[in-house]
Amino acid sequence: MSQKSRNKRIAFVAIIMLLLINYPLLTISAGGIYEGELPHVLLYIMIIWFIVIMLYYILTEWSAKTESKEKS
Amino acid sequence: MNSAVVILCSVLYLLLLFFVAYKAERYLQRGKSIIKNPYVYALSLCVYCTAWTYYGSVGRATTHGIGFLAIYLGPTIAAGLWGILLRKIIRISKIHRINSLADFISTRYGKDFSLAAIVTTLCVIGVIPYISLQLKAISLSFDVLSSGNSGSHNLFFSDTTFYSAVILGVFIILFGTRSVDATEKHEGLVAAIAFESVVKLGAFLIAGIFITYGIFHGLDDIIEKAASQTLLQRSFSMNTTGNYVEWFATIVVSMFAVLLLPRQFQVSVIENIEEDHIKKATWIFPLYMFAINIFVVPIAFAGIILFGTSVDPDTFVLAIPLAHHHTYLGLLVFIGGFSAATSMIIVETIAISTMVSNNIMVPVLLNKALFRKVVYTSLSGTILLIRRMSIILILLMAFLYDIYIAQYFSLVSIGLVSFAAVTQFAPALFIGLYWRGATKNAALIGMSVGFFLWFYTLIIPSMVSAHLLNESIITEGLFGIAWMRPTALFGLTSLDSFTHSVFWSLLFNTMSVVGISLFTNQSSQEIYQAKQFVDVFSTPSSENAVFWRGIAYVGDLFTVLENFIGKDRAKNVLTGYANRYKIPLNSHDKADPRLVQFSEKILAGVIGSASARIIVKSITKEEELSIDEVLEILHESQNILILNKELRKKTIELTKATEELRKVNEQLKNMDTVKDEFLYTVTHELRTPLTSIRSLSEIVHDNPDLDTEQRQEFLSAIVKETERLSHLITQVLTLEKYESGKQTIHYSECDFSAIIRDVIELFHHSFLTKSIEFHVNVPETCLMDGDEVLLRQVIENLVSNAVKFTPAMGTVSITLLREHSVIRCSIADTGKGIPDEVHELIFDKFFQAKNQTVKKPVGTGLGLAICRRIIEMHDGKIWVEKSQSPVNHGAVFSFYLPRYVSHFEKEE
Repeated sequence: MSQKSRNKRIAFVAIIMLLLINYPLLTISAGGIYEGELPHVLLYIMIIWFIVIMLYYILTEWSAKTESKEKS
Repeated sequence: MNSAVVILCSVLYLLLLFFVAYKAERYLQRGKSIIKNPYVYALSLCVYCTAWTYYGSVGRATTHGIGFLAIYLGPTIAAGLWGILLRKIIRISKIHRINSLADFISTRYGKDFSLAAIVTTLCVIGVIPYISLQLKAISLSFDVLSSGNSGSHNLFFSDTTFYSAVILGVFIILFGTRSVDATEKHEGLVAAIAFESVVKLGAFLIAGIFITYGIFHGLDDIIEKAASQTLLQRSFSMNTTGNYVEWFATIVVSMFAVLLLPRQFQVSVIENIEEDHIKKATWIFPLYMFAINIFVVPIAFAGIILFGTSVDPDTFVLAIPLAHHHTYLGLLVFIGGFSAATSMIIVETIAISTMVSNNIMVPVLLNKALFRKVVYTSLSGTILLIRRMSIILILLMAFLYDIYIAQYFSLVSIGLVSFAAVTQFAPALFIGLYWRGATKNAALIGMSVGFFLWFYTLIIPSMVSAHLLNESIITEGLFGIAWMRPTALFGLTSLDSFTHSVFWSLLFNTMSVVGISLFTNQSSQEIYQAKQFVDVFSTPSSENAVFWRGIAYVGDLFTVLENFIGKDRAKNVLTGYANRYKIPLNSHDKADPRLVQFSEKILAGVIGSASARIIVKSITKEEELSIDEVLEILHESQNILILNKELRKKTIELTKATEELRKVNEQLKNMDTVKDEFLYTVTHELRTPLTSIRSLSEIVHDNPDLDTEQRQEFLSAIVKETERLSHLITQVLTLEKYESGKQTIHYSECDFSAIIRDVIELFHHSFLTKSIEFHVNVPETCLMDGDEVLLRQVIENLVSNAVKFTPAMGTVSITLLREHSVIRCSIADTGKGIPDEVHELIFDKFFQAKNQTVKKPVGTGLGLAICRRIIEMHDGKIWVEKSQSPVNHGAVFSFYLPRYVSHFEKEE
């Protein structure tokens, strides 16, 4: 994978994250939220956050390894 | 805890910081760099997490619930764009020797002094409160830890903030202003910042684990107890659109802030050593943000459960361990917060002091005739002095702000106000990075308008809240005009004050940058710089493009450089450049334009591009280039680039062609060798029977009296040898036909079982003669598409070999398996077998295994080569392996051939 396409993929992941972390809050804020719901939203956001970090890791480190192998 | 102990620990921690920085500098002197490490780079970026994160996040979580996360989610999203955006900014900064955010923006818009000055001023106004916030956090946490017995704050010499500022000032001056070249890396300083990132994360996590699992029984316990707290109702709900809009605005602003805060620009761009370090930072930095936020909500909820409103939420992380008499844990937490504050103060002060000295003080002094004269005397000391004075000035301003103004604002409000301030640089910077048409005037007006609106809509309301201004401006608007109310500009009332300010300031800022750019013209310098920035990855090195015209002397350039960077270094850089481009370097000669450009770039690294421009103008007779000339230069550069690309493409093609030729040549050589070997073997094989024939014929010819019986015997031998000769020639011709592709396959449906049975019948007599036991495991029918004649030849060859090499009383087995789309056949014997190392070679022409019972095996040595060709022509594969039988160690020749599934179905 070239550096350019890797950067594009990571940027795509970032944009998806922006959408995913905003979607539930937008929905909730439009309809109101009952007491006790927010901890679930917090958990949801933390999970999305962690997955995105893992994707960043995979896309940068694994592709970097592939690149160095290709070079060698 | 006794305040003396706290002070002692703080001083010891600062000494440790000095030690880390000192060791890093020493390490560099030995030619090794600590910061040339992607992990150190990533950790240094975590200077983003300040005391505001450490203490303020908990405070914000108690009032805004998960709203505090937006400040860290924004940078996580931004990190995903670093590969595209930050890489470009770093590349530009390295090429142009940019040394600050103001320098970057100013260089993009034609190295304009006014732009650099305005960016610097905005940074000072926007970020001084943020530095002050850190000082405030230090004194606040000190008060909590020492139970408020730190003494009166009315006298500055009894205030801990003052001493913190003094010690930090000494540290910054020692490690941040060692070299006059601002583009040089601050080795010790960056190492210390990375170290502090580890300390603050470690301390916060330990505190979080203790509070969550030591004081409470885990997250569930805290959330369950918190749900019943009326004070946390707001944290548990988000029932208005306003909450969401604020959340979104904070994410957007923090996305910009993570790059545009002076300290972030300093560590991510200026202190970057290798562009590739971005790769690791892309995931380590967000991971750090994630880790430091895991326990924020539990600590916030725990604080409310334990203290209610009696304790400031900003200090919960410290107050909870202290309330449970864990003083040493409290001290650790204090050190963590202290490190968060100090790291921010150090980097931010260096970044701003560089901007202040390079973009305000030096240009102002250079405009004074007196100072212009001293350009010809040593100035590196003066520049360093100015920078050190700037550091003291900034810290003093932050200290005074803390004493006189900060008391009116909370930690959170100050932080967000700074974030919103630096966001005003975003339109000029990012639009300028991707759009060549953005003009200096547009950037200047855009930033000014944005900053004015930021001040009007965010600072004025804060000042009113602090009773520093009359409330009427909020209720009635400026001059009593209702639509000019700072919190409801143009009648927009549905947004909170932060979002309202960000919305209007960014909107007008962006509209100004885009709109004014469309109606204003660029100067020739701007056009050139815009091209250099926007097309940085596709523009040839600016060192080659000549963009300067006038008269300058090498001696003048050398003198000026010498005064700023020292004699030795000036000599080294100029000589190096002159040698690289073969430029004459005689001090009395006129300077090559490229040398003038290069000297300006070196100067820019020291005093910024705007000041460097002023100095170069002052020592040369510069002629202004017209826009047409600039466009011509750019056009030429573009042409050079296209030619270079084509040349590179041709070179790659040529390299590929050479490589292919080399391979073909290698192949030809191999084929030639094979051909020689083949000829040698064939002639050798032909000579043996021919010799026999000749000898026997001579005997018969020379001895007419030979008795009939003997003559008959000799003639039989001659016939036998002639047959052998004929067979050999037939085999050679057959193989040649296969290898040259002349032999075609006549496909037809055939029964492979029948072929095997026919061949067995043919060799029946041979089996009986040698008393060989024969096992056949062949299905009744086995249909396939193939050339029956050729396939029969394969089986004949293999069976013939098996009979030939199996001793008397031995066994030969033939097995045929039929599958859906393939048939597998194997012929095993109980001969001596074939050594592993020749399993591949045995299918080569004239190869015959050496370990057989006879010295020279009977046969031409072409049978197996022909078999392989036939099988391969049928898209199959043949191989040999050792017999798996524990008793017999013969050879097993196996092959498979593809067939249609329809054949299988027909058999069924």
